[in-house]
Amino acid sequence: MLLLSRPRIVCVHRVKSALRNPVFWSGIATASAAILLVGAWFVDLRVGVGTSLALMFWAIRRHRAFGSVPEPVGESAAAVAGDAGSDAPDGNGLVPLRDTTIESSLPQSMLRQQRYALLVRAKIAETLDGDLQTQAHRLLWDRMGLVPEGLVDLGTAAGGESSQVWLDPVLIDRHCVTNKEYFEFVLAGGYQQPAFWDDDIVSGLLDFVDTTGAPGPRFWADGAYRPELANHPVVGISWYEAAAYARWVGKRLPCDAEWLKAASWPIATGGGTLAQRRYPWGNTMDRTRANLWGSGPKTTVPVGEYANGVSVGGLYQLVGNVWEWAATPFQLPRGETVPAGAAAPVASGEVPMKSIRGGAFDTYFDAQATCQFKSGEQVLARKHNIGFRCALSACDVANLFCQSEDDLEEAMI
Amino acid sequence: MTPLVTLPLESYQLAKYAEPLVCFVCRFENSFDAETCRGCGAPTALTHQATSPKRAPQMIAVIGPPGCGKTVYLGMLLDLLARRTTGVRALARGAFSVTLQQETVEALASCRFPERTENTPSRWNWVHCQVHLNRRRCPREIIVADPSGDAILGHLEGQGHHPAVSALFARAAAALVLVDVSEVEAGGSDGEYFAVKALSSLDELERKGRRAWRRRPVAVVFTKADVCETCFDDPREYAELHCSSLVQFCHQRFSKVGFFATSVARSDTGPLGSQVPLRVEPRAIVDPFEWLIARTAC
Ligand SMILES: Nc1nc2c(ncn2[C@@H]2O[C@H](COP(=O)(O)OP(=O)(O)O)[C@@H](O)[C@H]2O)c(=O)[nH]1
Ligand SMILES: [Mg+2]
Ligand SMILES: [Zn+2]
Repeated sequence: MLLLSRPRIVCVHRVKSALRNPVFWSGIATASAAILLVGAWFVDLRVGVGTSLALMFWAIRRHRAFGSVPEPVGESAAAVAGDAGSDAPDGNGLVPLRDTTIESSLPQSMLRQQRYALLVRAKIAETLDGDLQTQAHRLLWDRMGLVPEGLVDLGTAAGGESSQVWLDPVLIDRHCVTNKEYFEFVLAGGYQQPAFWDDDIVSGLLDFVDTTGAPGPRFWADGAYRPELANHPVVGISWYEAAAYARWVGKRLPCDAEWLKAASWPIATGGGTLAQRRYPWGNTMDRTRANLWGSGPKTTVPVGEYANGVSVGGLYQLVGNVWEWAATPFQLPRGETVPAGAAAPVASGEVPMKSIRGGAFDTYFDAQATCQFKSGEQVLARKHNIGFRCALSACDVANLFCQSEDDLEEAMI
Repeated sequence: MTPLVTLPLESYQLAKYAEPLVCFVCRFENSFDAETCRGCGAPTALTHQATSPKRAPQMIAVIGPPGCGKTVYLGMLLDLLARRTTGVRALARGAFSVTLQQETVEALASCRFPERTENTPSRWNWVHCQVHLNRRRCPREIIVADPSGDAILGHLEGQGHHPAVSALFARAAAALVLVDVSEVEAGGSDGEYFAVKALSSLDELERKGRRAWRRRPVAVVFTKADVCETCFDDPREYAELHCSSLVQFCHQRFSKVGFFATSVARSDTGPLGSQVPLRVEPRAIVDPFEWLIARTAC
């Protein structure tokens, strides 16, 4: 009885609250604006070259205009999963067994696990029916932001000339990976499957345990996160764990340049120089826009917070909350500072370092929380303030833009 | 012949000059206009200030070998207290009290560690501040010195004369004993021996025929704990695992002992073999200080 009556109550409640919600109405307004815009575009057939550009902008804007997903697991994900909330540990910190009947197929369960990136790859996408393809693409655009191709200035180490690099278009997660999302990986036995791990770390896998000795992030217990931290970024993970999760969801870690481009959003100003932002929102520090020392609660916050600090491309918390692992090796700049004839620099131990980006809730100086600033950490370190987000090369997505065209048509109907 | 000119004697001024200025730290009698104490090297401004407020200041002895992180810890502590980001707040008294904070934070902000503290006590940084604990109403006058580790070492080994160190040891109301985690992790035990030596030297001090330090609080602070995350999880357990003789000694000889883990910055070995701070993220810096102040008699 109870089970039967509950969904209806929830439904009624949802509709009511949606009508009361100003975001809903502003959503309606923006949607109709988008339809008009798209209508105009369909009429003007001369616009051929600008197609992909317009679509890209639409995709970016769409996300920002709608105020983005309020929670890491967006509506579309919830629709796919039935009741998405059922996976979180309950009040006792225990993880209830999943009702497997909800998932009718493997692709469905992959969507629920946020592994949509695997489904949009050309080889796999063509085997799926159209509905699933659409779902995967929706999820992709919902959860990731596009960083267009172009130049980015990596800056200088020791006052030398700047170094610009060209990047192909890449999709980057809008939010850092949350505890809840990472939990799917742990639950699916990710720590037991060598395929997801770098060869050199497979023997070290047994060290990646939580406070109770179960496989998982360092601050978890009994293989699960504290329920109140479900939507906080996962921390206490080594670089290898971040890389393994990324592989599991069909993505990878962003490299330094990609991260920097997403955050600083370079604009060519002519004369070969690039205008890059100091912070994702602009050039001056504004502590209301990021969780840093002195602005936040001195601990992590849910990944959807600080919406006013979003980047141009609609990525959240690039600066603040947690440092983010990048794929790029880290070395202190060792250029001119070594005098000629000096002894070879001493390496800082045998463990290599990877670059981390963006500052964290306990970053003390503004200058160390800029887009440009990078720090490093040893690959095996499992710190309280280092998390990650994933990336996906646009070329790895089949019909990246065409699919969203379908979305457009759908939006018009 | 020139007539004798009689100048009016400003007797009160003369009296002021004639009266020696007794150093607050070491009790040495300085001339009134000396800038630093000839006994211990502390700035005489400190004594001028210390005698003016109604309540006499209390000293905290910061103890640790050279390079264990005293300067960096204290500089960051003072910056945190001044920024009022925590419950405890501090107001610097006198210009000299700002130098340590300023030099440390300036260095860290430009991705350097501060220069090594020189051995001469006149080059130590002295800090006098008014500390407000939230819980108690009355503000506390606190004096902290950033001593040179070499001077403490010299004092402990009986080499040379270190009046500032002996004065600090004898008169401080509490002790902050720093142990370098990076050294402990590298398998060294010099830091632990140093701490035990310093504490036993405190333990031998007598006041009115009793052990002077038995009831004074002692905070054992693991510095640079960023090199070992587990140290933060439970500093006492870490101490028992890695510095068991220190733990034993503390519990036998002192009634108020606390164990803490702190770190100021994550660092890496730079091109010239020196340490370069990769990022500044202070952790648990204020805790030991707050703990000490709350346990010293008002
Ligand atoms: N990793 C790390 N190194 C530190 C920290 N604090 C200090 N250090 C290192 O320890 C060195 C000595 O610190 P300092 O405060 O000058 O030591 P003092 O001689 O006791 O005053 C610095 O140059 C740094 O290399 C810290 O919080 N973390
Ligand atoms: Mg020093
Ligand atoms: Zn003196």
